Amino acid sequence: MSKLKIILNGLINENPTFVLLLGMCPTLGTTASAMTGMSMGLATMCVLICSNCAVSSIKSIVPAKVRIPVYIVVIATFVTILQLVLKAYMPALDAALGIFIPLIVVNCILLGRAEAFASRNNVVDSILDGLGIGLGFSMALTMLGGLRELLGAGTVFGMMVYPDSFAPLVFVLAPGAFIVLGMMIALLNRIRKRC
Amino acid sequence: MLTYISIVVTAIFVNNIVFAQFLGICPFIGVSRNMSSAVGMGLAVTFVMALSTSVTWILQTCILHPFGLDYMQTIAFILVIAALVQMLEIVLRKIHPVLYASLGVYLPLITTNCAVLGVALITVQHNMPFLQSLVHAVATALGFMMALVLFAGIRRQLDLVDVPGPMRGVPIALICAGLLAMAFMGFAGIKF
Amino acid sequence: MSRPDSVWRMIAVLGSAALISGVLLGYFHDLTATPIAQASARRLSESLREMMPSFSNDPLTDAVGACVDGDSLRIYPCMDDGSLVGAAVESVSHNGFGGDIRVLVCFTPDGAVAGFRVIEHSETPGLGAKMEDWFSGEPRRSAIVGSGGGGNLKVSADGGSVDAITGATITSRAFVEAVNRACSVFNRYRNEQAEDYS
Repeated sequence: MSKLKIILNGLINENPTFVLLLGMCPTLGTTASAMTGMSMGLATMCVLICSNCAVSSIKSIVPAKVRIPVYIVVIATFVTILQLVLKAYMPALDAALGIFIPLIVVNCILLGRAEAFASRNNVVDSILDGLGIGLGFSMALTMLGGLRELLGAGTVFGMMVYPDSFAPLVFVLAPGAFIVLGMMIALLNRIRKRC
Repeated sequence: MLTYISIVVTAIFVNNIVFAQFLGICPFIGVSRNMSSAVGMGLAVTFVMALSTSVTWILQTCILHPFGLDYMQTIAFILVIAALVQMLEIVLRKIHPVLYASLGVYLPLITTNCAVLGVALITVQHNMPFLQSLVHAVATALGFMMALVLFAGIRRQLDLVDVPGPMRGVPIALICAGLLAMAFMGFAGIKF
Repeated sequence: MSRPDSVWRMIAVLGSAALISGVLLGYFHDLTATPIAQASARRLSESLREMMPSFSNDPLTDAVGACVDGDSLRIYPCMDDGSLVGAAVESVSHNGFGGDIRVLVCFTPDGAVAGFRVIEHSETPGLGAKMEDWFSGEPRRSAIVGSGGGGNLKVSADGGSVDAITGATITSRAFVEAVNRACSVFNRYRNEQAEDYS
């Protein structure tokens, strides 16, 4: 696969949120606004690129039986590094994302990509795959967050689009997350069946 | 006594792990189709959650915190959970092969269940005493099982109904989950 | 080491993974320890600098703890040339709709409220979450700021002078409770200081 194709694959064909349906927990939990959604997506992308790179580098020395625990250790290490860096230099973001930062460890996307791609391909391709999937995830989260923020609070990225007294509050609350995500997946199913 | 009742009611209804805290969604969407596998999964998660919260509480109180190793929480907790699930698999295969076979691939997936790690981290963040955290973990898992069973029932009905093409499968399931979440919002604000 | 899956190899790989991970994490922890400690202190001192008149001490190091109803609140006194120009109290109410509400309340030396800032809350977005903006607007602000140190503010539903947020009475009550607690704690502190000097 050409390098560009790997990235586009993660963005569209194998988009983790809309196609693979992985990583639902942060998708629903951090998309109350476009900004938090995008930050969560980018944070996950950083960890994904690092973990894919690391897993791909050690794939030949890890025995098959212990590969899952080793991958978990690798991913957890990078997640903890991310936690520490965010707490130190971006505490507001750390407070906004809350418990979902350490929960990146159990995000099915990371273990899934380590198992499905990074353990079978070379380092450069794995990094690009991490980039593509990460960008796909970020894009999905930003779109979802933007839509929920627009409908539920009348703002996008904090900029007012219409007065929030007209906004149905439910979209930034729990039920809205499920409903908007369900609608978006349905819409994409429709689009994909057409092409 | 009242504290414990309050914890149980809050964990199952007011702060339901699936509908209010968004944890444990992946198995929620994936597993719940069959009522008996929903119950089985729920019980397995209850057991793992109770055990892992206890062990991680002890780990945090006796080792991590006194040595200033709080930042190792994420990695230590997930390794504990992975080890516990592995042990559960081995034990279940020996004692109850039928249940083991019916749970199939979902058992190792409990390791990546955000709810299990999430509850362990929340318990430690709120500095609850041991018994309270155990009660909280069991109650949360029961809330998870309740959500799973409710959803299994709904999905079985959905299979019998004529759903428009693009909405079939996950989209309509998510919308139903949204309506359930709305219903659970009615519990918000209950206090003892 | 002839078979790739031998037990020793598995242990070696897992062990070295754990070791490398431990070293990396220790390194990053040392790297970020000071910035983390500074981050939370910085937010507090910025709030103090905005709301209080100029002071020459470091309120964080001069902070005093005070107990009320089983909670320990912190008082940050602001001095200029040794005399008190004001103080801030970090207060908490456990009766918020979604959990604890933490408020930083600033006082003038004679006990009147000078300003407030909501530090932490888990209230509903769009309703209780806008309590800082709501109570900073008139006429709510005048009802709170400048009020005597009696610490008995109430929402209008309870017969008081502070308008609650429509649809968020519980949040409003909890906010007012946090402010009242701060008032009583500061008054106790003031009386103790007066006794020390007399």
